[in-house]
Amino acid sequence: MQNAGQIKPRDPDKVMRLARLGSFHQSRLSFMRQLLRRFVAESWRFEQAAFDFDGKGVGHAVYTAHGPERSYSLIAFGNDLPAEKRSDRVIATEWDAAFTLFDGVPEQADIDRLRENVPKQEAGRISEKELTLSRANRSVRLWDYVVDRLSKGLQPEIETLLEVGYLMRTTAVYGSGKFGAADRAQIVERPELQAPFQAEMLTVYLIRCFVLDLVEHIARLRAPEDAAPLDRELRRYFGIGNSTGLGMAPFLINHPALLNAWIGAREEALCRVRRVERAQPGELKVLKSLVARAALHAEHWHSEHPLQVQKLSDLRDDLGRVKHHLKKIDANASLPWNKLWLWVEENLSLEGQEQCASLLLELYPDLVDPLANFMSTDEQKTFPIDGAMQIARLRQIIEEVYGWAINTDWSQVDSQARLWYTSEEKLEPRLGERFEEPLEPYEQPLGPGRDAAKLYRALNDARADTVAEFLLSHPEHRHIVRRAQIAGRLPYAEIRDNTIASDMMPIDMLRMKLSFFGACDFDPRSDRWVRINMFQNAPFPHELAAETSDNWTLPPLQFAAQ
Amino acid sequence: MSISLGEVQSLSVKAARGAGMEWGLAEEAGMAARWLCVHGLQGVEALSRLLQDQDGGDYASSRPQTRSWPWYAEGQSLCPIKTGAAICDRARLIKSGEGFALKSTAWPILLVPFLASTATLTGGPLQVSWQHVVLAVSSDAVSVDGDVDMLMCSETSNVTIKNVSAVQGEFLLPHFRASPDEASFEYLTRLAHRTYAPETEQSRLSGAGAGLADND
Repeated sequence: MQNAGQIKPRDPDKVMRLARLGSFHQSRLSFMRQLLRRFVAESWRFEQAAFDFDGKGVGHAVYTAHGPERSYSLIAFGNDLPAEKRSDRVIATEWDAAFTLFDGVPEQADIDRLRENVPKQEAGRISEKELTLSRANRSVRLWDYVVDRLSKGLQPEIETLLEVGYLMRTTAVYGSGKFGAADRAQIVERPELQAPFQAEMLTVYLIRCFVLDLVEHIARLRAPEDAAPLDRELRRYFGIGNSTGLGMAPFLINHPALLNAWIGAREEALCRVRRVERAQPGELKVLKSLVARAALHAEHWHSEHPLQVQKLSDLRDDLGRVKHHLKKIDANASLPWNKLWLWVEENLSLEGQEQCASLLLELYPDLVDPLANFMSTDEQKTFPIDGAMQIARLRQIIEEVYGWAINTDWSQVDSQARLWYTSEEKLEPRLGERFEEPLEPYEQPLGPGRDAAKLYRALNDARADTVAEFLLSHPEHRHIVRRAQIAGRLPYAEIRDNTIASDMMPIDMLRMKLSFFGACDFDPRSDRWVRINMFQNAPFPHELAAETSDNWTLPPLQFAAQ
Repeated sequence: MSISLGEVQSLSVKAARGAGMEWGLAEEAGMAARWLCVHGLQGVEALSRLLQDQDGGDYASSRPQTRSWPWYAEGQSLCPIKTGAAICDRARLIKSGEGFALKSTAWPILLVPFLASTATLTGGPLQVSWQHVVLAVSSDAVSVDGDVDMLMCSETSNVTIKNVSAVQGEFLLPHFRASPDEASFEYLTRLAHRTYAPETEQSRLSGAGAGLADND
């Protein structure tokens, strides 16, 4: 029998596998959750400062969020996009709507300048006064349906809403210095932007407000006499969709210290909950209700992708078994959540395990939420190489972190069938077939396992004693030595799986990152892009209150009856 | 033109890679260009000129020979990126040493970011000088003194580096944007372009993973 002190965070060899990372769920630590908690804790104020649109959706709007010290404004530009131009692919050049998050309250001159640039997205240019750049397309089937219903004074049917879950879908939310935007360095001292991706999450939150206002506005213009606004509860059901492609995957490999911070916070949180000696009265009941809501969420979660279809089926089964198991457990036992967790690990699929990990965190805000403060990193600190490190120590790190890679037969075609490269056409990351296309000269350093195995072999023949000496004559290993040293210090920095294998699924990496954003309803559309829903069920600005700001992600149980 | 520091860094990494540097050194070049821009110095211009001179050159001829001080290159002059990285890799040696020197070095300003990293790692401020310009770096301050026209010196016959107790002189304040000259920016962009794969019909279809309809 374990005592609390023996319970440790999970082993990175277990956690950092693609199949598990690709089964992660949102949690209290997710960036959307952090943002909404802050809105309430600091009494943020929101206003629609401008809204000027015609019946085709052409016009602009400004939504301003006022924090305790600073304000941020979403500037939205609407476009009458011909149907044939509507594409979520990054190769698109026009969108239904384009957005930027302005640092402060814009003047007319700012809006005029941005009107010339924001709708062009990658082909335009923004400035240090802007924090993000984004665009969205309508979900044609749901948009037209909702406008039609509202303009007749009717509400949309909930079944139809549930099939899609959003009226607009963003296809990129760029931040941190992209296309001329302000660098993170410029804003990182601000408490409200210290956690990762807060400017991006604020952008999407305000886009959601805008989109719901726009659909009601267009219905009203179509039938001024008859149109109805959306019912409050139905309104909450609309999130903002997102189509995420390969671009997100290299980010995780390129930011190992940040990856460690995210995963490390979640693993520490799970460990803290498992160490709770005694459950308080009522906690088991709360968990049962969370499981029921997660089951409802899993029921509403649709995908046509065969792999996700199977995972969803497993998840639904798993949540049924958890529900049954919770009836039998002794809430007065010592280390109750650790006992439950060991049962979960023993009995559930990866989807079910990771869902339960996220649910357990919900029980203990006081233990979990402070860990959110450790989810950012200063990458300059981890950049320098420790040249004084002895070669023997470097070998040891490779054996610990990249053991799987040393034992992989890299002469097999399947073990390095893929390669990551950047396309000339869109300057976006792509995944190619190494042995079928002439792409190798353009390969990006995104296969750390193979590179570590190569380094390990080179170290066998090295005459150097220290890393500094070795690198002076082997500059080709400098990149992987840096990674290995970071991974030697930070346990969750490296994905311990083959990122260039023939059967690698990029969507696993996308899902992991998106789960930290707080996204739901992962719907892979191929092995390399995924659709999600963001802020579904979230309170709108006028609904923000202590009781709603943090309990919104899973659908409320009243929806089960409908 | 006004560009973000993130743009300076990612462009510089790609350009250095495009000019033939190994990825790990290209990352150092990106760090160095960004650091210079943060301190209001001409990082993009210096890297652009260095890569122009080095393009296609081999690693061995411009790497430092480190058996004894002063370090030197077997070819014409030391590459400041390779040399700076080698100095930073030996940060602990430098702390205990009395100071040291380099022989002929190209674009010595590109050494300074590495000395700042070294000073941060060891906690001991360093002073570097060439051609009557003197810079001092510590974990949180940078100063410049002397003939500032020589900051953008393309080659110097020697560089002197020594430990100092504190940073003195005119302090350089942090910048959040860079305004490189267009020719330098364009040149780095051209080099960066070499890292992009030309699109083929196959890669266009499969690379980004178009599958099911993306519009509904």
